[in-house]
Amino acid sequence: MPTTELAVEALVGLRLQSGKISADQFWVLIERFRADLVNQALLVLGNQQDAEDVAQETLCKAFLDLPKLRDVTKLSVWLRQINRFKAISLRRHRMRQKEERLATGQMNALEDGEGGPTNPSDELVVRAVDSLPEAFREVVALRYWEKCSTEDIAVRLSIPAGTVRSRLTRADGLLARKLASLLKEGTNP
Amino acid sequence: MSDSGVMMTCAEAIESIRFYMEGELSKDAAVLLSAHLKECPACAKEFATRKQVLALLGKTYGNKQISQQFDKNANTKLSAMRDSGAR
Repeated sequence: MPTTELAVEALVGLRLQSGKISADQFWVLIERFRADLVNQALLVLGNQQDAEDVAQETLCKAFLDLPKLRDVTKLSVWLRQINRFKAISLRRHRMRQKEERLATGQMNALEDGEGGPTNPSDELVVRAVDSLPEAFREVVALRYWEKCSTEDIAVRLSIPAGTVRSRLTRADGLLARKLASLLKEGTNP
Repeated sequence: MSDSGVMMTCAEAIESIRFYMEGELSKDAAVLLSAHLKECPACAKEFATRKQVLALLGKTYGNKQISQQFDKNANTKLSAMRDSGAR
């Protein structure tokens, strides 16, 4: 990890462990993670509103449970674990609701189901992005979910703009391979 | 090679593709990239692949953006969680 990022992580760690961080400060510190969390939840839920709700709940839980986080360098992994659990729980809840409505005749079986992926092509792309290693996933999520310029991403992540450019370039190559592999899986019986 | 005799390496060409597609590449660099792609079949193939990837990313995420109310909604949820003592 580059020195600048280590410095940021150390700063975050000190501030989190001091126990004096406010919610507003926390939102600023975790701004870099929220797009990735929404992307991850979207893959499970297929609906942006639900995905944002889940990501918000994840961040709230993380804020309230901060003292439980022993290794601040694992913040992203921890957030994604909480997020995935919450997304799956919500999906199950939505499926139960759907089954109840079908059983009680409030919904026709042919109605467009809720909670499914937006469309197959979008799902492949979201899945490919979610499969990227963290350093690459983060820049791609900020580029596409937050519409950040290269310079904006550099500021948010405290890394040089050149590093952002090279990560985006590497991410493109990885995405090309992942998408090809996912398409191949999809065409094989 | 461009008219000026300056060449772009394969690594530089690959790194230029996204920024060329997004209109962030300078005119001079775009000329160098174009000249390189004419002479390098491997990079020309990579250009075509990455162009497709960028088009897919644009199509998937073009209309998606984190809500401007994201932090406000998160704060509302946080207040509710604190009030209820729920985790």
